[in-house]
Amino acid sequence: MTFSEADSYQDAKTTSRRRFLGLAAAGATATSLGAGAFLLGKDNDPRLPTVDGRVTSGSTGSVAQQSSNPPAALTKAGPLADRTLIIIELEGGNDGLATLIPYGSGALRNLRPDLLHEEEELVMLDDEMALNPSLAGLNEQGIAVLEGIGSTDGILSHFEMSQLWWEGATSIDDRRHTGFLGRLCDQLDVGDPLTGLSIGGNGHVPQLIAEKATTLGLADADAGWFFREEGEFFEHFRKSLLSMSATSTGGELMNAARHGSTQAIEFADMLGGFDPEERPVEYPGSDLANSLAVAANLMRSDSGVRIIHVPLGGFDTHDDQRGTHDYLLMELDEALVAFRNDLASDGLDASTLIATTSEFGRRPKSSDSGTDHGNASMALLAGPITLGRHGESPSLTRLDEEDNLAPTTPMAEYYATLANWFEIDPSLVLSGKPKPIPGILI
Amino acid sequence: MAQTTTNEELHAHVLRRLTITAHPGQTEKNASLDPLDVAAEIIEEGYASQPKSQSLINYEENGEEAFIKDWLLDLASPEAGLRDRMAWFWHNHLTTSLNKTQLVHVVDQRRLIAEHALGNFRELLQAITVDAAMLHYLDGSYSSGDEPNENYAREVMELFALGIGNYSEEDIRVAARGLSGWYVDYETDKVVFDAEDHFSRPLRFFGTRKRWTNESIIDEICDQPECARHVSRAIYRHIVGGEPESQKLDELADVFRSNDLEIRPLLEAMVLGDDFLNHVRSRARSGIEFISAVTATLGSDSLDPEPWSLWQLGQVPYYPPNVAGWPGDARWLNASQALGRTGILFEAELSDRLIDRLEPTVDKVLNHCGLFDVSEDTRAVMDAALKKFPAYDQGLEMLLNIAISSPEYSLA
Repeated sequence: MTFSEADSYQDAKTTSRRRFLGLAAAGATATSLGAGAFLLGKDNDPRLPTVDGRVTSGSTGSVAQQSSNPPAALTKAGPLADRTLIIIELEGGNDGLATLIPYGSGALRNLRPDLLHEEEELVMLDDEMALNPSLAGLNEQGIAVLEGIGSTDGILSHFEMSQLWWEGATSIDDRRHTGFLGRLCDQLDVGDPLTGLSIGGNGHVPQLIAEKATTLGLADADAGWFFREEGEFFEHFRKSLLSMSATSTGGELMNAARHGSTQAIEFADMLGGFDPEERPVEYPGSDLANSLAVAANLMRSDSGVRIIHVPLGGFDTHDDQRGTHDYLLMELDEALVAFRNDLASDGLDASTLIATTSEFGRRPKSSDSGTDHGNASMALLAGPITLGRHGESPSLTRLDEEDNLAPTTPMAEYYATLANWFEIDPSLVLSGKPKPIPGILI
Repeated sequence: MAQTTTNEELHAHVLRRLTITAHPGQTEKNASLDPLDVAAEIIEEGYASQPKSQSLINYEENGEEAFIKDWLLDLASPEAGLRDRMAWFWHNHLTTSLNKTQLVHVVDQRRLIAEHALGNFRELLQAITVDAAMLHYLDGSYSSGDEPNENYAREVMELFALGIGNYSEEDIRVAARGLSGWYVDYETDKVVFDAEDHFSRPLRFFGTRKRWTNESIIDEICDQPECARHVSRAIYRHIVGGEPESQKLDELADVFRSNDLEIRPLLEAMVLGDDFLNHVRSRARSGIEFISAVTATLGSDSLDPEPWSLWQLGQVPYYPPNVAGWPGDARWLNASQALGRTGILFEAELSDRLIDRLEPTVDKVLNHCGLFDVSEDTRAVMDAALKKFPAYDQGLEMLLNIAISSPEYSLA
């Protein structure tokens, strides 16, 4: 197609096509819900894993710099109406034993000698436990860990266990057609334009399926670029959509469609309504960091958002676990450190709880260079909470019949704790009246 | 639902609901006919059509991505008819996820559904009950008489055939036993019945005490008075749009029941009357319907739809969000969908063929998009755009962008 005019339109369109090619390439390899996003961040990262999968340079350099003045530990949670929950879903089954490491355990050395870090690399918590070296930045800012989370059903299928976590089903027989986060959104719903959001998943994330609250899914942090593009063509297109939406003829569905369009433009503005150069903190270049940067901006907007879900894929470490897992945790650490600094710059940190989920942990005994699907794992939490260790460590010597860690904390109690963050009665969103875990929330 | 629906718009409505979308030129071709005669013709053609023959061999090289793309292209094709429409409906109603089974099995399941799409509901439900992909997805394959898994037994009654409140927990426990014994042999990929794994002692199910088999359990479920009502309601929501009035639903369920759950007479009763024609744009276009429509509008030489774009809208065949399938409601109109839809639109690059063929006037572009009755506002916005961008190619692209982003186009 050639145009005699509007070079800027042509340029803009070429640029956008290039962007889409990036997205298409990433999407083409997507085999799980959260995989469709940009690869650019990783390509530009100078600390890519080398061929053998090890990270090449000091894994905590930039993090240490950025958090050299860690925010003071939070002693009080923000007002209830401002509270936000950020869920980072570690897809594929995060290895709890390589995240929170019982480094003193002889049993662990016997089970997975080839997967252990040197003791001097570890981030020591106490005389039993250490954090993975990649989590130094988060540790410096202050985090909590909850040990032994799992399901007594102990199913080893990603999908089955993910579904339990997505639906907040307390057992395999507890069928739900809404998501746990969606039910929390229904409780929090006050008719705002947006209560729950997923960034980096897809248009229908099962976690956020709600009965009445508005919950949305954005495939990536760059969504809506075409509404932000400069140039006559794009600007007129945007204006045309707003004009078509400015009336209310033709009934309820027509108006719902108009509302969707208007809201899409508002979100596109919110998502891009900031100059990356002017952010209070510098974010790393990963997809996760991009999504969290967008989350921070939405939290500052008047969208009303209370729950934000961001997936991080790649934790199914059947082989080459050391390098892959350290790299993923580094990506998590760097993105969350930047995000928390960003929130702290506006005082939003006291009303934000960050919590990880993962469908299961991994088998304590290594196989080759990796680990198979396991049962109990652990969660990382950050925000106005009691820092340090919570829950009970699963036993490394009394394993379940699949040779996996037996859970000490039911998923439902973890979820009840998250419901409690909003002072929602857990029995409104979970079966079987699970109790929140005491001592985490302050 | 304009009070004065034009004949053309009624024709477009018939095509949108009974096939997948109104392709450029199709509506005009039918304009001299009665829309309901065209509807009857589409039903007849769909009934006479043969399901496409597919085999795993087609997908060996590019796997599930090729399978998904193939489906998408079938839906976007001008050849797509009522069989494709109903097969898509049944996939959403009797859903299965590739997360829990393999491509080889869903290729077979897609063919099975296409074969039964316009046949008999009882036969379809019997077949899907012992279909390999379904045995994996809802755990029939992992169930036995001694240790019954209740997953399929529950969903077949709750979602597929009866609806919540029309069976008891005890019915689920009994059905799980009655259905047991069928599994997918992982060495041969074939479905087999092992009598030793089947629970064969007498049990009471919906008031009858006897020895049950998978067939008699499904027959008993289909014989429940609520079955015809439940399935008629689901088809009505998809084909007619919105909720049927109670009396209408009673009538349709009677037709379905008295025709021994044959799907064709039900569809005829649903479609060949005023009620259907009063439901123009009465439901949202779902993600895959939108992508099929925009591919039809622009032509696949302008937009080569990729499975990844389906992820953006969250409607990839064989990846439903849960066992209830995709919601059929106004969620398809929300902001994330609007962002996704516009993103897909900006993927397109108008082909020379389209540019040569379609003149940039408001009427021609609207009709090309299958839009005949549009609001004054939509038309005014397009008029203004044409004034602002009089250059041929750019004007055409702007008009198409606006028409495809209009509230009218987002409805089915």
